[in-house]
Amino acid sequence: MLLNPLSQDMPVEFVVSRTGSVAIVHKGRAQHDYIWVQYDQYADSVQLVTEDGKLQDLGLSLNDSMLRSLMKTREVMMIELTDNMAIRKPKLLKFSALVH
Amino acid sequence: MVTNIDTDVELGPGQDGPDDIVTHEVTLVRMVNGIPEAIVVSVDDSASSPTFSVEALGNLPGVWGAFNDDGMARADMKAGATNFLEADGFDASELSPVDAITFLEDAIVDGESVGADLLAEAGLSSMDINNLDAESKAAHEAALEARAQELAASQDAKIEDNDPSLGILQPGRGLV
Repeated sequence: MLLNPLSQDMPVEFVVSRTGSVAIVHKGRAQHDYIWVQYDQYADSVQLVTEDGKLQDLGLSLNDSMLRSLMKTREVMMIELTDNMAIRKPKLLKFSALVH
Repeated sequence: MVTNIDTDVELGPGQDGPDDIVTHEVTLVRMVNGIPEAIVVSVDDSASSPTFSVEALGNLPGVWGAFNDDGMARADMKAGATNFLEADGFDASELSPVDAITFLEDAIVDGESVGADLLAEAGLSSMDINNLDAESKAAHEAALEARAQELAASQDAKIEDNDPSLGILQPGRGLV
């Protein structure tokens, strides 16, 4: 089941370093518990996998430079920002490129 | 956060029957306050159930890699081990805001971003440890110092014991 893109539900920023450190920062409480992040190269889509197996597109387009950095990582930190911009419940998720 | 797993894992009979049991010492590497930490677990790698395999351990949240006793990285994506380890009290996804800030430091120094400008809105766009409030900065520095001392003590003990497993931890590569 494909959920609405996360960026349609709340403000989301996707941050990638040249060394491959990746963070997904979102403002507001996500409606799902995520266990995994993957990149589907055919759909050109960063996808979050929920605990109950649903897929949610991030809803952001990454440029080539970001994609190259993304491919270096093995984990993504999900960081929720509260309304007053405090960090709440950061969580590390495994990352992989999706193999078709 | 649980930092030690000391358990013998019984995953059931192997593929060739109940006598087909192979136990591996598996080193999990994860980041704690920005410092790689190794955890050694004993795992029966011969279970017939594909959901509990040594490969799965490398895909636990927070774990950068899993390396078995011959040093080979195990990277196959399989589910199941998370539940198994969490049942043993392991919760690698339990992180503090200081962990997040430490993580973000690297991501922001030379990185790029797309989407909403949340980090700037949160005052984190020029992420630097000096930008932390006093309490978080103290916690960050204390965590790094404590971990550094712990690692140094651990290495000293291994040197005294002439432990052949002594190696250099590298994120994502484990003991090299």
